[in-house]
Amino acid sequence: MGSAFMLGIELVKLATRHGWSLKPHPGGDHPFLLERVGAPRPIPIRHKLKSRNEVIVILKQLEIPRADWPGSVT
Amino acid sequence: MKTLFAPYRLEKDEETGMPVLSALAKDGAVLAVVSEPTLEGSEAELVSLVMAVLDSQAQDGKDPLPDLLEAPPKKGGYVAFLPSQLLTVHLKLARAQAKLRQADMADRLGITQQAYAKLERPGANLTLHTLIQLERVLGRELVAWAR
Repeated sequence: MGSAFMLGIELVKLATRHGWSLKPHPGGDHPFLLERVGAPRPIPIRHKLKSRNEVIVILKQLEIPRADWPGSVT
Repeated sequence: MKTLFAPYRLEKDEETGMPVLSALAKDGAVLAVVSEPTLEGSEAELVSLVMAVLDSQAQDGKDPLPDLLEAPPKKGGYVAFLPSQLLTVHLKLARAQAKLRQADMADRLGITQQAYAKLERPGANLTLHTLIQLERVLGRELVAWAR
């Protein structure tokens, strides 16, 4: 509920360009789950990300280079 | 089966003032991140996100519970996972390790695959009778019984 700073799907699209893939998961309110070969655990992404810092922590978790971060967080 | 815990790192979003909570695994890696207007709301969301990670790993046959702490951390915030919440993780893990599909479990229990899927859904409230049937089919304990 509530407004979003960024939609999770935008982050998912960016992550897929960096070797992550979307894990099949039941629909509804479930988060997106991203997986990558060699990553010890899947990374959950909510449908609505509520703050800039939330997005930044996830970008670091996904090991996405700063140069590729979305303009809204840089 | 015990309550398990995940500590979280608490930061603040400079623009909105909202708390940003990062749940940490035992090895210090970030398990999940959330930011909601209140700390209580963020903690509730964090539990649900970490549960999604635990569930997913269990489904792949990897035991995710060693990532959690057996006692609350002495310092800082944490979220707790009750035995009733972790039961579906145990069930998924036991089935994956037995290399059984949901349909196989349903066949052995004499129920539909859809009915079985509901038993594995987070928040499922299993009856004692169902638990005993599941343990029989899987050939292993899902909960520690009183002796």
